[in-house]
Amino acid sequence: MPVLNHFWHLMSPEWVLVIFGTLFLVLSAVPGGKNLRVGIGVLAVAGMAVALALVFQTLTALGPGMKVPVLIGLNGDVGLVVDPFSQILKVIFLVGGVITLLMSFKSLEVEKAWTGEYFTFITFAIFGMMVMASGNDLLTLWVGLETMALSVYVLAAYLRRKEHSVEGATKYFLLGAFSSGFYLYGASLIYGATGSVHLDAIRASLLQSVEQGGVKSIGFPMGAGLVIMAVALLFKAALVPFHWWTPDAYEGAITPVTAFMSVAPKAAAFAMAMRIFVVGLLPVSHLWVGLLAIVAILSMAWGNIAAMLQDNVKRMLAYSSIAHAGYALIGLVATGATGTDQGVRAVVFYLLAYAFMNLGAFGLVIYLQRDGSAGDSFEDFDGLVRRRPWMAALMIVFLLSLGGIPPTAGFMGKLLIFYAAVTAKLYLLAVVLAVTSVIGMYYYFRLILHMFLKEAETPAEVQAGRPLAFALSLCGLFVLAIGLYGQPFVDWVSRAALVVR
Amino acid sequence: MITIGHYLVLASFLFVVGLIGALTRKSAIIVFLAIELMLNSVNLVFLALGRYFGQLDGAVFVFFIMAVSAAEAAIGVAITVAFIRRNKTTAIDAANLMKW
Repeated sequence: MPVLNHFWHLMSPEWVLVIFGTLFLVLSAVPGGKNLRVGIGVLAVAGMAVALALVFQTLTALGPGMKVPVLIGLNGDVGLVVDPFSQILKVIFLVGGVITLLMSFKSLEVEKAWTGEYFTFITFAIFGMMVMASGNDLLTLWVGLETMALSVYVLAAYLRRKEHSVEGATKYFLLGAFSSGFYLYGASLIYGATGSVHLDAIRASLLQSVEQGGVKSIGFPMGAGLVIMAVALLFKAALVPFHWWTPDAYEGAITPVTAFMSVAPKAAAFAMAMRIFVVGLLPVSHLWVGLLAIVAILSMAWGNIAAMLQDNVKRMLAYSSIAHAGYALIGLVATGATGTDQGVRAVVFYLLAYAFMNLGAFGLVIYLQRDGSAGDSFEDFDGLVRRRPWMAALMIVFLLSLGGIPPTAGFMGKLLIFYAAVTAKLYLLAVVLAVTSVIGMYYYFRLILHMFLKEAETPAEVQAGRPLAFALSLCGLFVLAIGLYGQPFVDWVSRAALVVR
Repeated sequence: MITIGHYLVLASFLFVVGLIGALTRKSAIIVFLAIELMLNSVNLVFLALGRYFGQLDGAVFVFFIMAVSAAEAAIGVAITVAFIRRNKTTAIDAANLMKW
């Protein structure tokens, strides 16, 4: 019996990434100077652009609400699916990957750390994320998760001669492996309770028990498995109280990797969580809605408060990313409370908007990076408005967007999340979202004030270089486009649907 | 008579042992070994359940867990070696450059 059916070409973006990643690995072993490594980088951008085009092609081919099984097991269970939800998320990962690669050229140049493996691991990490967006059983999702995580551990430790990088990567690795054990133990309990690891079969089994015996008939193993598995996913998405590794890993890693980690793996963790909770576990939503609501509130509150106290821009953005993950989580809670796709769409839209604004903000840190300094202290931003007005203007756009001020992408994203929360009658979450957003303004404006009011004592000479300038303009363009003229983007994202009726 | 319950109790015991080890030990290598114990306790659960349900799913899951944890070990050892080179110790207390 064939395992791959005749829809296998829908996975062509994944094949492209695997082929390119393997090619880079072979090329990295070829002795050669910096030029060869730069060539691999250019090839990586090209490979991701090809994959992006293929994802768009499959997305247009998919009708509304279509869900094509791609990998089918011997007994007919579906391992991988291609649907608009997975393809839209793949667009987010690949766009994040392309922008990261464009921003990497300058950082690698400054750190004199050109290798081919850097591009290999970014490519494989994105491949893993794409499997996480498409996976339809607990095993496939986990293999995708580990493919991504193992690549990102290496990237976090990339500057292996720097203490901060190694320390951040050690913490990230140990906690990541720990959370992996949690995921598997939760998966084994769910397997024991429902008799399957396939999300569709899990949903069917849960629906049957709920219909026969009501919600009370869901036993302890199911509840325990669900909570333990949720812990692992919250670890990966960096939500309070499972966020300890985040600021350290983000501060230690080379800045383009930090930008990448704060956007793509977070989006992938959300994709996987939404797939599991909405497709598999929606019949028992009473078990997870309250838990995730508490985590969302804690993340919004602590992320914003801790970000205020930071003296390092990368750490500040790390805590701000925790807060933003909290905002996005509200959408998933809303879907659990109402059983409609509105919340899922709000999350996907938020992840899209967040990708552009956060990559842009980290891009400015890379812009200020120079020999001997990562450019990540508040003082590095002093007087930027007078020194480099265009760059400062871009940073202000990104910071206003992160703060959720119109007319930017961040505002549109928060609006959709807020609307989803109110529709689901989650008024407490909506209020916390609004209040913590106001707290969040404080530290974004603090950085803006540094750019306007302070004067740099010895202004450092910094160069952007063409790839970085292009990446930053792209981010700025999309942040403003989504903010000023968001309807096409909202329509595009509204194709994403997960709830099975 | 050994039933499915015996396997599950043993596995959860092993998981808790690994959990406590990972949370309390000081050496990065021992922490990593404790995490491997957690993964292996999960292997036991999946094997026992797969046999109980008469499905292959459990056994397939175990093979993937073993393969991935081998890859994880390779990367974990590499990162730990880099850590030991910097700090001249395996104690994770040495990772104190950055705090919250």
